[in-house]
Amino acid sequence: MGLTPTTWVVIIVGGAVTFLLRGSFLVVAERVVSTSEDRRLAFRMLPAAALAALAFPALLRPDGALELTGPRPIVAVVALVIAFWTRSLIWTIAGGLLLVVGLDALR
Amino acid sequence: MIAALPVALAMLPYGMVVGYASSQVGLGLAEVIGFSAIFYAGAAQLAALELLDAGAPLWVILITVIAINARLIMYSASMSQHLWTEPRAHRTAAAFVLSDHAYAVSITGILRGDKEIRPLWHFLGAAIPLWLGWQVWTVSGALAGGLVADLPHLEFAIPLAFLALLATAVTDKPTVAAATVAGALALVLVNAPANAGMPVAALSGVLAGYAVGKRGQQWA
Repeated sequence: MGLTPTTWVVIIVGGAVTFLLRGSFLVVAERVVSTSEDRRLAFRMLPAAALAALAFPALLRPDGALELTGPRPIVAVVALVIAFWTRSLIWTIAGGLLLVVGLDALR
Repeated sequence: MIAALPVALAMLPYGMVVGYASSQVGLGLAEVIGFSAIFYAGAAQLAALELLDAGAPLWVILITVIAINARLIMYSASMSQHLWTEPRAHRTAAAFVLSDHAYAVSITGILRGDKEIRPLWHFLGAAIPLWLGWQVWTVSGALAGGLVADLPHLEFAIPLAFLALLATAVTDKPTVAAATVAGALALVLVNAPANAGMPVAALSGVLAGYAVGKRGQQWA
């Protein structure tokens, strides 16, 4: 339990700092809302860019290593097709997981 | 809100791993709950615990936490464009439960969703179940221990959910460019220190999408 004395400091100070990041734009939203077309275009790119930057490393390089032979590249390609074809969360997760299980059974 | 439920479920393995890892470095149940409820950021929590365990000073821990959580600024910026008409108290409360998953689920709901539903309800309808789920999973992980750490294949669920949500966010040439550049760069920068690859890749994607969008305007 050597951690205990400072753990709560980290929880509270770290939580406060993280809350500042979370609130950075939201708390002052009325002042940062984009009025110009240019800024609106840039803001419109954020969801696609952020989601791609989250999805691909998590799917293909979860431990930082790049494995080209394992099931991950196959799952990524098939899931991408399902995702764009169905635009459905459930079907993409279900299809992807079924494929993972299927590939595992084939090995 | 409906979309939040499978995502909340898909977070079970990761939440339990974070809870388990926290109990392994000597955290009591109260501290696990404190981290989950107040800190509410899995990757940064794991890094902070590792540093705490190694005896790092507080400022090193804080800088690491800021670097890992910097991506939350992007979500805050993006959400602010949809919630700016709400009272500040509502936006402050919303900020408290903002996370990768809450942003991913709600922004896609807002973009393609029912215009009758206020963006704030889209957001809270996703963020609150996800926050509650995280509390349950991390506490279960701390209590149930390593039991869950190797649930087969479920580690694919969250990346698959992000991929599905990405498909709803990619609607035209600029967003294709944004996603392609961000995804490719994030793959290359996966080992960058303090998870810096993700925000750098995402902002590069924004620039790429912006450039493509501007060129489209000139030709139109």
